[in-house]
Amino acid sequence: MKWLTDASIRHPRLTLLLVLLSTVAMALGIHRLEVDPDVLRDLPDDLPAKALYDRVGDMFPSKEMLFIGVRAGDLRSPEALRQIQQLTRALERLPVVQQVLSPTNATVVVGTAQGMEIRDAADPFPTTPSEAGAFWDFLQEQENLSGMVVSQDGSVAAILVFLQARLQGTESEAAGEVLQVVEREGGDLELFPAGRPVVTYYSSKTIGKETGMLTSAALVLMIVLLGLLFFNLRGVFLPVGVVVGAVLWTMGGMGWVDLAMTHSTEALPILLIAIGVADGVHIVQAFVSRARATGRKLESVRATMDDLRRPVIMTSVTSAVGFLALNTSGVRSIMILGMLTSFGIMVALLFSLSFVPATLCLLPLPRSARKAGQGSARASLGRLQRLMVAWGDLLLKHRLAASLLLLALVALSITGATRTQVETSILANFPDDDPISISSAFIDQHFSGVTNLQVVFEAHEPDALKDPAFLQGIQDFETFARGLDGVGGTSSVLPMLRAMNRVLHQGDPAWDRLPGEQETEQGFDYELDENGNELALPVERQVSGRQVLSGYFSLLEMSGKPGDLANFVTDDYSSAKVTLFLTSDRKKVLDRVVSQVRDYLANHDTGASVEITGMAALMLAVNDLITQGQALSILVSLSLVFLVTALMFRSAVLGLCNVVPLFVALFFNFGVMGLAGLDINLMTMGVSSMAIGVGVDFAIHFVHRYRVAFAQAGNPRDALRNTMAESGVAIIMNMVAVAGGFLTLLLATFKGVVTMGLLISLIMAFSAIGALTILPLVFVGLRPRAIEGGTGRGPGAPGRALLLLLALPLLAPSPAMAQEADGRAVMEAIENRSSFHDMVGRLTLTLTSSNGGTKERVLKMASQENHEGETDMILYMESPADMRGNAFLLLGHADRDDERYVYIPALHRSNKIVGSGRKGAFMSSDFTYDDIGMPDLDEWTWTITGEQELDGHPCQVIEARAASDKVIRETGYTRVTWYIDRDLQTSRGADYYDKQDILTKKLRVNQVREISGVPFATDMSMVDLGTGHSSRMVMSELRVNQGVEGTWFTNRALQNGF
Amino acid sequence: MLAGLPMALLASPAGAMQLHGYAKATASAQLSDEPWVDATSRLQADLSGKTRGASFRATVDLDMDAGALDMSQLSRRELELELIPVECRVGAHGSWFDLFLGKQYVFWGQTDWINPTDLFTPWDYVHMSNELEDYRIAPWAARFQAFFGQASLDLVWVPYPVPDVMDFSSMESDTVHVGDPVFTREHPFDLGLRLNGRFAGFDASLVAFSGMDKRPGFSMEMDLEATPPILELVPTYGSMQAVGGDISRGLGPLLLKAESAWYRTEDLQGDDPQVRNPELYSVAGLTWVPGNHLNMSLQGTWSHLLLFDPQADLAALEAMGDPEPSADALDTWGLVERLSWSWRDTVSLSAVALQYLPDQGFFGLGYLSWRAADGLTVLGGALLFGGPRGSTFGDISELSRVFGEIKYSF
Repeated sequence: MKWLTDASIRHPRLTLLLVLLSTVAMALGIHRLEVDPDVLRDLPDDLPAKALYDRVGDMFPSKEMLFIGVRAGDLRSPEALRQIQQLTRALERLPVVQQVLSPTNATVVVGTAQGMEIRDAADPFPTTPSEAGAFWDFLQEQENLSGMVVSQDGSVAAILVFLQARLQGTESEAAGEVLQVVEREGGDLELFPAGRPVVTYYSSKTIGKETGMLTSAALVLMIVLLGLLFFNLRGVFLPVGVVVGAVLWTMGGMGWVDLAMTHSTEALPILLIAIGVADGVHIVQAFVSRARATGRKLESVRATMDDLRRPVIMTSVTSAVGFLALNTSGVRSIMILGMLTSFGIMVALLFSLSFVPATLCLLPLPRSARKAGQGSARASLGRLQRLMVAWGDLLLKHRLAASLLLLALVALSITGATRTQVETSILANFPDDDPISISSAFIDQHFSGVTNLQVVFEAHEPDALKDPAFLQGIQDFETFARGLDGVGGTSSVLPMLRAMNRVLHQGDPAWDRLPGEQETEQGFDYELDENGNELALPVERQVSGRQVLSGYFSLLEMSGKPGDLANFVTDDYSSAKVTLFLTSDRKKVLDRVVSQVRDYLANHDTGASVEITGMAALMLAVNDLITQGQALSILVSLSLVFLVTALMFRSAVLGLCNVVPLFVALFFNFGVMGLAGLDINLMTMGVSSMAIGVGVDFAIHFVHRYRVAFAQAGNPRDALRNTMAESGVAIIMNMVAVAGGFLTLLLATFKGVVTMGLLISLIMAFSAIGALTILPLVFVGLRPRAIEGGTGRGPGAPGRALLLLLALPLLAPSPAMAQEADGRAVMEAIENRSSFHDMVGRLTLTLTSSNGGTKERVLKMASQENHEGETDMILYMESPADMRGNAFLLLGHADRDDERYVYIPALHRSNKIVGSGRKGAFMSSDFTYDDIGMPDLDEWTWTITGEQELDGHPCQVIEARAASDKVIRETGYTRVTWYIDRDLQTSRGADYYDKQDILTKKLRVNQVREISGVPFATDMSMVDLGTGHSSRMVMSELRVNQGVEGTWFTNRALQNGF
Repeated sequence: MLAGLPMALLASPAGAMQLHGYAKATASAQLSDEPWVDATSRLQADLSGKTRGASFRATVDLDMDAGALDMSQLSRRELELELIPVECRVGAHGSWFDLFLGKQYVFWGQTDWINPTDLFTPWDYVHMSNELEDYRIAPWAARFQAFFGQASLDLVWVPYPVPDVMDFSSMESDTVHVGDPVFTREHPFDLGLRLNGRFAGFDASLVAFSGMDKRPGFSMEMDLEATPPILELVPTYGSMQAVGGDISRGLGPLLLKAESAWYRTEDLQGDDPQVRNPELYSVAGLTWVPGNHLNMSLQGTWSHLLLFDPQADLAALEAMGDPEPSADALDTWGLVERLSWSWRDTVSLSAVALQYLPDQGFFGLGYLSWRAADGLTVLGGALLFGGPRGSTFGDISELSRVFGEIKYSF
C-alpha cells in the first residue's frame, strides 16, 4: 500500500480526480437501493422455527393478520354498518388478502324451524337503528365473534384481515396496500390498524427516515465538533470526506448489486461514520504537529504517512476482519452487515491512504505552521495535549488505585450485564403517543390482543379431526390457554362446532359442547296405524360422535365461506390450528406463555404432534439465534482481532493488549444497558459490534505509538507522555466528535434509535477509556518485553554483575572482530556525515585518453533522495555542442530495477533505456555508477587494516571485501581499499580490485569542500590502470539540501530542461 | 511571433537565447548500373530561447545541393541553394502544461523505427539519410501537453497534414502512369490524443487519432482509347481513425516494448481495392544492453488486414481493367534489427535493418562514425534497399547508396 500513498503524494490532482469519479460512479447505485424490513428473508432456511412457519403456511392459507379497530360516532347505526361493509368488500378485493373477517361478513350458525342455517351475520342487512342494535347484540352473543369482531362491551368493532400465506412481495408491502384501502374506504369511521404487519410497515418507514435524518444531523454536529477541536478545515473536511466516501461507496455498491437495506444494514452508515473517522483524525492531527515542527508541507505529509500508514492499515484490516466474524451470526442481514461494514472500512482505508495525503499536498500549510507559536488552535491543542499528559501522569502516580477502580467498574459492569434483557418487540420502540402504539393499545384493550401465537395439532392421518376424543383434547387445551395470563382470547373451529351442536338441539345450553364418542340422538320411527295413518314414534338412537362431526364439517363446507374452515383445519381434516391472542408482544410475555403451553402439552397427550408457530414464536427463535449468534460472532471477532494484531505486531502479548480494551468496552456497554434497563434488540445488537471496530482502532494506534515512543525515549514515563500527547489527543478528539455527534439520536421519537444513539456515544467513550486507561496501566505496570525488547525486565543489579563476570571471557572481543566493527563504524560515520537529501550543481567531466588527448563534458545535474530512499537523478549535457541537449533521467527504486530515460535532441524524443547495471560507465568515463555514490555498507565487510599517508594526508586504511558473489558480479570488484582522512573523516581515495583480485582502478579525491554542512568531494580523479585512460570529475555551483523541484525528475524536464 | 519573441527574450533579464547548429558536407554514390554522385553541404542553424513562461525554437537548414556529378565528364550542375525550415515553434509553459504552436516534430510510440501510433509526422522516403530532418517532415501543429507528475496528456492538432513523400516513378512505365495525388477530404486535418503514464515500472500509453492516412491507396482508371491502353494510377490519401497504445518495461539489461494500433480507413466494408483496408498493426520486441558499449534491439512487426477478401479485390481490379491484378497479403510480417556499438565516445557503429518477410524486401541503414574531436565527426555508411522486384523495397533498390560525411557541430 506504500505505492498508493506515494502515488497519491506525487499525483495529488490525478488522485483526487480518480477518487471523485469513482465515488460518483459508485454513488449512482444509491438510487437503486430498496428497503426490505422483512426479517423472515434473513433467516436461514434450515432454522427449525422458520421451516415450521413455512410448513404451516402451506397447510393453512394465511399466516399473518392485521387488526383494524373500528370506532364510530354511533356504531349501532345502519350507516356505520354500511361503511364497515363497504370497507370489508374493498379489502376482500385485494389480491394480498386471503380472507376478511368483519362484523358484516362473519359466519354465524342460527337455528331455524327447519333446523339450522349457516349464514353471514349481517344477512339480512340491518336497515334501521333497532335492527342494527339487535345485530350488534347478536354478535356479542357469538362466542367465536365476541372479542374478535366486536368488543365484549359492544362499543367498538374490529375487522380482521388475513394476508395470503404466499405473498409476491413482502409482508410490509402487503400491509401498505391494506392501509391504503383503509384510508380510502374508511369514510367517517375512526380506524385503528394494528398487528405485526402494520408494525413492520411503519417501522420500516419510521426507522429509515429517522435514522437517516438524525444520522445527517449527527454528521453535521460531528463536523462542528471536529472544527472546534482542530480549528481548521482540513481537520473537518478530511475525516468527514473519508467517511462520506466510504458510505457512498458502500451504499452505492449495495444498490449496484441489488442488496436491499434491512433493519440490520440500516445501521451501516452509522457504523462507518463512527469507525471510519478515526484514521482521518489521526493523520490530520499528526500532520499538523509535524507541519508546525518543520514548516514543510510535502515533507510533513510524507513523514506522516510513513509513520501512520502501518497503524492505519492495521486498524482497518483488524476492524474489517472483526466485522467479517459477524458471518457466524446465522442471520443473513447481520452477516451482510458484517461484510458490508468490512467493505466500507476497507474503502475508508483506501481514502485515508489516497484522498487524505493528496488533499494535504494540495492544501496550503496550516496557518499555525506558517506562523509559529501563534493561534488559538495551537493553544487549544496544546491544552488538550497537556490534559492528556496530565492524565497519563495521574495514572502513573496512582496505578494501584486506578487498577482497583477499573476492576470495580468491570465487576459492576458484569453485574449490570447479567441484567440485560433481550427484547424482540418492535412495537416497544414506538413512543406511546405514536398512532401505531395507540392502535395496538386499542386492540389490546377492547379485543383479544394484537399479537398471536398459533398452535397446530397434527394427527398425520386424514379425518383425525372427526374423532371426538381428538377434538376434545384440543378443546381442553383451548380452555387452558384462555386462562393463561397474557392470553386475551383464542380462536379455532371448535366454537363453530359447539354452536352447531347447540343449535341443532334447540339451543339447549347443555348441548353447547362438542359431540362425545357416542351421542344419543332423538329421532322418530314412522309406523302406520290400523287406519293407515303414519305415526311418528320417538326413538333414541346411538350415533357415533365421528358421524356427527362429519356431518357438521360437511355442513360448514357447504354452507360457509371457504375461509371459514380453511384457516382452522386442513382440507383432509388431519390438522387443526388454534390461535392464541396475546395482550402484549413483549418477550417476557411471549416466553412465559410459550413455556406454559409447552409444559401443558408435555403433560397432556392430545394424540397428535403439536407445534407452536406464528410470527411471535418465530421472533423468539430469531431472537435466540441472534443472541447466540451475536455472542459467538463477538467471540470470533475478538479471537480474530487477537490473531491479526498479534501477527501484525509479531507479539501475542501485544495482541492481547489490543483485545483487552475491547473486552472492557463491551462489558461496560452491556453493563450500562443492564443497569439502565435498556433492552438488547436487533438494532442495538448491530451497534454492539461497533465496539470492536472502534475499540481496536484506539488500541492499535495507542500501542503503535507507545512502541515507537518507547524506542525513542527508553523509559515508560516519557513514552507514555509522548503517546498521550499524540495518540491520546487523537483518540479523545475522535471520541468527542463521534460521541457528541451521535448524541443527536437522542432526539429521535423511535425509542430504538434513541437507544442506539446513546449506545454509540457510550461505546465511543468506553473504548477511549479502555485504550487510555488500561493500556497505560498494562504497559507501565507489566513492562511487556514486546514493547521494551531486550531492555525490558531483566535481572536486578547483582544478577547483572554476576552475569558480566561469568560472561566476560566470552564477551571479550577478538582483535579482528573489534577492527571489523570499527571499520564499519567509521564508514557509517562517514555515511551519516555525508548523506544529503538533494543537490544541484554543474559537473565538468574531463576524459583523458592514454595518449593524452582530452575531451570535456559539461553537465548540469540534480539529484534527490526519493520517497523510497533511493536516488533520482537528472543530467543535462551542456557541452560539447554535438551532445548539447542530451539528457539522462534516472529514477531509483528500492524494490525493482531503476528506470532510465534518455533524450536525444536530434531525434526529438525521449526513450526508455536500460543500463548495464551498476558497473556501467558513467557518461563514458572511468567512473561507474557504483563508483560515484556511497557504497552500500551491507554489501561489504569492513576491516581497518592500518594507517597510511595519501597525497600528504594521514589516512586510516579500511579494506572492504564483497560480502557475496552477487556483489562481485554486479560491481565488478572483489575488494576495495578505502583511504579515510583522519582529520576530515571523509574518503581521500580508493583502490579497486577486479574479479581476479588485481588492482584495476584508483580513485583519488583532489578536493573536499563542506557545503551546507555536508562534506563533498568536489574534485575526483579515476585512473583505469588497464587502459591508461583517466577521468576527472569536478563539481561546481553546488547547492546541497536546498530543495529541488519534484518536476525536475520527469520526462518533461528531460525534453525542456530544468 | 518568431521575430518578436527573440527580441523580447533578448531584452528580458530572465530570458536566455542560444544559437547552435552544425555544418556538414555529405557525398553519396548510388549503387546501381548508373552510379551518380550526390554532394550536399548543409548549414543548420538552431535558434532557441526560453523565459519563465514562454519559449521558441527555429531550426533552419540551408542546403547547397551540388546535384549529380557526371563522373565521365566531370561536369556539374549549377549549385541549388535551398532554405528548408525544419522546425519553427513557440511555446507557452505553465506549472502543469505546455502549449506549442508551429512547425514541430510530434513523435508518439516507444518501439524502434516502426511506430504504429506515430501518425502525425510523415516520412520522407525519397531524401532519406541518417539525419532526422531528412526522413521525417515536421508538420504545422498545435500541441497541448498536460502533466500530472509522471502521467501526461498530449493533444495534437495538425490543420494541414501532408502525406508521406514517396517516389512513385518506379511504378511508371509505358502502360502505367502515376497521376497527381488526390485527397478524399476537402479540408483534411489531424487530431489526436495520447495518454501516457508510468506505473510499477511500466511506461504505457493510449492513443486515439483521426486524420489523414499518410500512406496512399491507388485509384485506377484505364484509358482504353490510348494505344496501348494506359492504366492511370492516382495516389489517393483518405481519412483514417486509429486507436492504439504502447507499453514498455525494463528487466535488468532487457527492455521489452510493444506497440499496436487499429486503423479504421475509408474502406469500411473492405471491398474497395482502391482504398487501404482497415488494419491492425503491431510491433513488439526487446532491446538488450549486455555491456557498456553494446546495445542491440530485435523487433517483430505484424500487419493484419481487416475486412479483407482477396478474391473480391482481384475481381474488382479485373473489372476495372487492371492488366495485372494482384491483391495484398492478409498478413505481413517483418523484422527490425538494430545494433549500436560505441567505444569511449570516439568510435561508434550504428545499424538498423528492416525486412518484410513475405516479400523478402529489406531496408538497411548503417554507418561508422569517428569522433575526431569534440564537435567534429567523420562518418561513413550505406543506405540499402533490396528485395525481389515487386517487393516494397525491391522496387526502389536503385536508391541504395553509400555515403560519407564530415560534420562540425557548434
